[in-house]
Amino acid sequence: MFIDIHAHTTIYPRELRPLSDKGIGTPDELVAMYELAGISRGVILPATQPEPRACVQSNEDILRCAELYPDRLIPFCGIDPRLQSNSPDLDLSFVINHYKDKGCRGIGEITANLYFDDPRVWNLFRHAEKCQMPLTFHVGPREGGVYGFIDELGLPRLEKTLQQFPDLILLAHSQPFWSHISGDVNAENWAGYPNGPVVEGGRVPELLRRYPGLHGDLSAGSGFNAVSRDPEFGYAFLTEFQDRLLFGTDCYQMEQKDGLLVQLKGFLEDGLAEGKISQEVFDRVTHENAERVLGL
Amino acid sequence: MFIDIHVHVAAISDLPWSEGQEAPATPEQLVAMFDEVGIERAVMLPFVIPECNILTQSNEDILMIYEKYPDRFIPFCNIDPRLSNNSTDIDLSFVINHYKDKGCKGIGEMTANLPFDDPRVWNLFSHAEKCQMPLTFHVACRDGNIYGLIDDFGLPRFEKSVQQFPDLVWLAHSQSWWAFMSGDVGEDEWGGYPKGPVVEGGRVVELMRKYPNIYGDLSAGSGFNAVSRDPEFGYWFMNEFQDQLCFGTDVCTGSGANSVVRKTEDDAMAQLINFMKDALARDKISQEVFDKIASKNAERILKL
Repeated sequence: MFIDIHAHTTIYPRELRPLSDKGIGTPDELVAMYELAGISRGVILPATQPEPRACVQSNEDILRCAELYPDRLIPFCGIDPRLQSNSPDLDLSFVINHYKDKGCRGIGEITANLYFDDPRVWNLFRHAEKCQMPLTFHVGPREGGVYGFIDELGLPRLEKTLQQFPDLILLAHSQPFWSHISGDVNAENWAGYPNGPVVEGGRVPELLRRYPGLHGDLSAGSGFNAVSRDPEFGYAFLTEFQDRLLFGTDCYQMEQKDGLLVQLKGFLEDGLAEGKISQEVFDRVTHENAERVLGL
Repeated sequence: MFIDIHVHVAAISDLPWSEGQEAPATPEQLVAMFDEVGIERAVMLPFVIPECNILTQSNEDILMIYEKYPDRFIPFCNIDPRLSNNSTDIDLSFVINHYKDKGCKGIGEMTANLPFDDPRVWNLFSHAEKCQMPLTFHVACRDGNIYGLIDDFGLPRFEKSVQQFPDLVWLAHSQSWWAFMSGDVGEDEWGGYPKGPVVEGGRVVELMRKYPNIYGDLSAGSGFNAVSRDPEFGYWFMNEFQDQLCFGTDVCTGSGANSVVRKTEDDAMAQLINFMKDALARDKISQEVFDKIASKNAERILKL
């Protein structure tokens, strides 16, 4: 059984939205993809912040998608750290709890292009921790021309955040996070998909080892690349962090049916078939960790 | 007949404005209010920009309301200057024209808490001008703990923007705009509702005279206060700028709608209707001036 920790959809048909909105598909399309791939359920993440797309989405849009497929789609809510008055002390628990009461199981994908340790961002983390809501984030390797929380090579601002909010469950995602699986990541390639053998000493294993709140969202090309670029390392990584890694796709349209939808799934199934990972590890990464983290 | 240049509405959310408060007005609540007070149509301004409200709407949410009530609501789209990668050179015309084709008549309410002359904001202005879409904006008197485009005392960044984009139609709104009605506004009061007689030399008058593409959105307590704090000056102002002022309410809750209907003395939104009707009845403004401000200017700039 698979639970996808990271997908996107919208209730509004394609023709209503700007073309540059990446052609995000409807819930019907996403569920049809899940049927094809044998994925039982998926977390749907609204794009409520302006930075990632040309089209801002509402939480109500994603709740409507989830209502259509209550057994298949699990809604998260998007909470922009600048909500209402661009202030570091707004009571975001009120907003978070509103959407939690409506069925949201977490917050994200948070993509605001603000510093990881900006007081407004920390205010969001503080309220997410208080409301016991996991938070999925995207890392931005710079300010401007990109989306995601801004950090530097080595992810020092993420580490400071992990120290500050020990009870917050963070679901780490994106290229600048996963490129740090290897100790030899550098300023030129940390925003991309570095290939080749993984070198010991990467910040991802270090941070996962040190901070129990940190979890790895294995979706997208970034998550898949991290575990598959050096398969022996990848299977050992899955085994070591079997309680902290979650299967995901980052799918949003049928065109991904032969790529993102199935590539990580195939890697995990191969690992199981070849005895590289145990059934227990496989089950945890594919769905049990998601069930635990999301309280399903 | 009135066209309201400034309302907020939500059809599919019941998230309150804040704890203990109401949710935004529904389309049905607003239509009931419009029928009672004689507002024929109203411009809907979506909460797309995070600053301003805890509710985030999509332009699509607003277009659904337009589809249901095409004769009562006029949709604006809202375009965050940080859309698609927080960059200064994204082709926002593409996005604006998409929504223009869907029926949107303008852009706003622009409430991003970024400096008025931030390159990302100017990129938006440049594309709004190119697409010939009017833009409604809210001014902030500081960075943080507030919403709106940030300016300095005296609105120098706004003036620089108007000079840079001479063909953009600006719908100016908010306390920090209307406080400059009077020449004696102080640095400690330009974020509020200064009272009392208007002193000659206000920046609002100066800027509207110098730039005919600046329009005054008279909605909210700020717009009403500007024209009513010194009624004789207010009548002069409405006559002088009869081609550059638009009636508006900024009604955004169900009880706000009720308060407009109630027409109580302490309700600014009801008072703007009353103030204009009273000015007409006492010949302080002509029927022509009344009609222009109530609806005709909006019809012209929104090409209705």
